[in-house]
Amino acid sequence: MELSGKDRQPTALGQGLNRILQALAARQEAVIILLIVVVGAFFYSRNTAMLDGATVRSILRTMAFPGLISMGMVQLMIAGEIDLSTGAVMSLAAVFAAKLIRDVGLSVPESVLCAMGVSLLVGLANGLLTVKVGIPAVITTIGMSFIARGISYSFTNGLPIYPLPPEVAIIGSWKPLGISFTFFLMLGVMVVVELLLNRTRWGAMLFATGGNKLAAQVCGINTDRVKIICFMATSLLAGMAGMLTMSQLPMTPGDPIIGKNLELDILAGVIVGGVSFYGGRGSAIGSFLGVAFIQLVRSGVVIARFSSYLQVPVVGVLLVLAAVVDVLRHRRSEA
Amino acid sequence: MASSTTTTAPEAVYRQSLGRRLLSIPELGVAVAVIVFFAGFYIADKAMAEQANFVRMATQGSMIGLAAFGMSFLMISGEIDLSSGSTAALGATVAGLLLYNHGWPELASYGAALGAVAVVGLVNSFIVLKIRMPSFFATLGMSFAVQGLAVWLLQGQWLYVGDLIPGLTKVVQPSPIFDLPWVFLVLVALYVIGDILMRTSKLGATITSVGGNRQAAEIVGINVPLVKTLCFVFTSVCCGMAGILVMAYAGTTDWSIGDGWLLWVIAIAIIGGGSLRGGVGSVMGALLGTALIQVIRMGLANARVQTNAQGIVIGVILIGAAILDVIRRKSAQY
Repeated sequence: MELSGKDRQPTALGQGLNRILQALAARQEAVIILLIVVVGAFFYSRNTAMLDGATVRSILRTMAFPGLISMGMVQLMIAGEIDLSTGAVMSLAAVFAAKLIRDVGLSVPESVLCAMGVSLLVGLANGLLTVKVGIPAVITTIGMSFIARGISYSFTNGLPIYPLPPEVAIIGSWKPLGISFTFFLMLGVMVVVELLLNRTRWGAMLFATGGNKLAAQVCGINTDRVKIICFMATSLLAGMAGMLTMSQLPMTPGDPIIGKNLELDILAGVIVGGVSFYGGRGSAIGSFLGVAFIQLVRSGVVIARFSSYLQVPVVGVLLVLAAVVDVLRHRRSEA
Repeated sequence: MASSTTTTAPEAVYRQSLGRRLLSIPELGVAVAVIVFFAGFYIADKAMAEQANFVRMATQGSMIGLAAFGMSFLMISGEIDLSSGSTAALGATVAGLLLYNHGWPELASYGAALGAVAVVGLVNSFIVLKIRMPSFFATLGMSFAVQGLAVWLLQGQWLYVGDLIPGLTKVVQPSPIFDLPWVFLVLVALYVIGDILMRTSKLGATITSVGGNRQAAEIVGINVPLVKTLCFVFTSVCCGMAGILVMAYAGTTDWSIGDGWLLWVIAIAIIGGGSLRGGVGSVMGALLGTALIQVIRMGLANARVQTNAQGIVIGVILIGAAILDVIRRKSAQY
């Protein structure tokens, strides 16, 4: 049987790969920007509409939702966990708020607050089940996503909830610079999270928890609490994203279909952006760039007149590739 | 512990009450649960016990049961495959396209489809073994990629293949035994054979040791990568076949086959005694798990619970099964 990898001299190809991985380990953000430029150029060469103002604005508008949620995901994954229930939480929050507004008669702000509370509860449940009971986060959150979506469907019997009063659309109809409010909200959250990660004790606790949980605990960090807070933050952002979706698209009521399949985009974006499945690394700016890149690829596939059915497999392949890079980098740092 | 005498000391130490030992057989717990749930649903609606209902349960359960069959071997070997639903979709898609668009004969289409999903299994095993990504994440990512592939191949078509598959359709037709479909009988036979194989043959011992303690297995000379690769491919082939069966049953192919299977299959594997950490599992348990899930699904459908609202139950069961798994692991006695 073959020797373990450590005992062999790297080939020329291996050395080249090593150098690329080194670059990636150091400055993933730079690599993503490069990727965006290269891929953008490729799509542009197929169809110049790619760099159109309208196209760019639409990309930014669409990416704002997964981007917002990714700001929570990045913290959660740095701490070493994962959440696959975000799409379902989006739907649950939106439907919940819509039902409160239309059927219970609460005012818009009140309903929004209640829905945000529900999102926090889901996050809390995710956190408790994963951290306290010990179920792997993948299972917990997938199971929770089914529960949340099921609740959302049974609230609405599968039909969208409408009509909703026009106040709902107030925030959604803000279009500063022709892009959505959600986009700027996401940018703001991104700045806050980046600062949190790099300049505050909270960020240090996150990296410690994800990098070496035992060591973090020895240092006195309550890793359980850190992770639970991250779960709750992610679900909260997901709930907000759901409600913003409801508000932003004209005539889009609380619809249980919101957020389906969004988890792929968020996960792929975040991993491309430098977050590791193993925890302990990642950045908010990287996640923003990663999610933007994924959205760019999605739109590019359609605009460059490839089959629009290619979108999902391409993003899936990107996810796998990014994950492979992640694993290789992890192994290199262990060797 | 039970009272002991001064003689055979080891025997006395390990003797536990019959009740305790019965409880530690995971399969028994599931069997009891099946009966309990069934009784519960029966009380709610007498129609549960109709023969037609049994037949439907058996037919539907056969597809997922086949996927769970393959998975149980893989889980015993210490890995997991989250791409089962997508693989099933791919199997059905390839078979359907070959049958419908290219007019291939039945057997050739199935062969090609199974070949395609075997490739998926190989890719899964490559990523897990060579690149050493934990199987959770590797197969999760692959599930997105494979499903996307199936969607793209179909280009959104919805193929009606009912007329093209006389051979396979016979398989899902009722047999003389209680009108249960042939495929169900074959599946039960497979399970029985598989379970016996696992418990008594060298193959079974090999797989179990690979899952239980990889290093020890390597030291003993077992080719661990080969065993795991075989398990991955076997799982994918089972899932692909299951997808083809769904196509046979429904008469159509579309990309939504296998949607949501992922959870069912994992829940079944865990309920049936498999552990997410690997090395533990029971083939028979997977069969009982399938039975339990089917009873629950049928019961819910009978009570006219909407498919999507059924999701709540799925999620709860999944989390419940996972909690069970954790409890079982924590209280394992050596």
